[in-house]
Amino acid sequence: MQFLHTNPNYKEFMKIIFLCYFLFFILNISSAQENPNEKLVYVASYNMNGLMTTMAQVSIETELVKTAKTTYLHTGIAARTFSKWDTYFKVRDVYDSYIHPTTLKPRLYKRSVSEGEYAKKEKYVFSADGKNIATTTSKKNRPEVKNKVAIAANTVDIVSLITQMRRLDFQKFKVGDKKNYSIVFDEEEFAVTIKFMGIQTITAGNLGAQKCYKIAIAANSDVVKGKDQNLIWFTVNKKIPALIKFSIPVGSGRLILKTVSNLK
Amino acid sequence: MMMRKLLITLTLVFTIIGVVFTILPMGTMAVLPMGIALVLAVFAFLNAKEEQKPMSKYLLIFTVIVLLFILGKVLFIQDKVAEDVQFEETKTESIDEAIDELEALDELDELDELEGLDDL
Repeated sequence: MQFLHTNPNYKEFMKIIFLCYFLFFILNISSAQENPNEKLVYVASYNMNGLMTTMAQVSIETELVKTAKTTYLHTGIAARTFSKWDTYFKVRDVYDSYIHPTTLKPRLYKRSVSEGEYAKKEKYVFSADGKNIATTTSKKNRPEVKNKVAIAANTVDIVSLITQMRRLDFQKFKVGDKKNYSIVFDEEEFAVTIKFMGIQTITAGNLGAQKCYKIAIAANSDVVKGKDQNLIWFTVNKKIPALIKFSIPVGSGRLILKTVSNLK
Repeated sequence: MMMRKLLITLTLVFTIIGVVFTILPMGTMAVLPMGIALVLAVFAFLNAKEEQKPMSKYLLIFTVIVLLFILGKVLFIQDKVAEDVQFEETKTESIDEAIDELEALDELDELDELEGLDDL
């Protein structure tokens, strides 16, 4: 479907994809060390003229990966369009992150996206002090590009941010409390702020009705729209994201938790 | 007469849009044009004289059938992802490569630590 790639709305579509992934990474809160081998499956929908249309399945799996000296926390996120969409716009995306178990800082981050005619592979190797990343990027029919990007010492990739967020004790938060972070994505750093919105009971897939922390996410980027319109509900007991709603310049959508397996 | 023709034309237009949306994976979006088509078909049927009723009736029946088909599709056909062996293999290969890269990084860290000790 070459026309999708050349369409002027393609950039906006890519923003949607990015935002989805940003939110998918947020999902990783549930996949920190406490629950290795956990698998979460979501259904992603996009609002078309006021009606939610199911687009893709997103799965998040965690496992401990052992090298000779260290055990890393690996989180893999895979997004696949439902077969009904594959003929028109096939998406096969994978995001992998390898986090040091004690520092919770990323060591390796890999991204492979295949969206219609567009394909890109990206790899970030974080320096031991966390102040630099060595990036390798390759796109379809283009040569591989290597780069070195200086980042602030507290800047992490999205997955690491989330793992850090999972350590937050939301019980101590009051409604309206905020916390700031800095992340790197597409070789760019930007600020992210989370805001505690309270507790609500919602359905969490096969877990049934669950009390959840409602969190609003704002990013210093033009990919998100509106105030407190990008929301995530985390279950109180296991901090599993049960529902995600996003709002962007070209529309809105949501991710609904379908199944949770291997939950300890 | 004009009113009935207009209603029938609009019904046909919305029915075609609805059918196209049904063929495409638009999910509940197809309900919108088909719902409008149904309402227009009902008005066309009510405005028709006795000898004109059959066409309006068939149009009404057709819109109801398509609408029921869409609702059935939305309610009873579950979304599925296709089995993709190549995709799964790529994922596994990526993890294997990552483990090798992490091993190399661990060794580099160890060398840096040793160099740091030498500097002391």
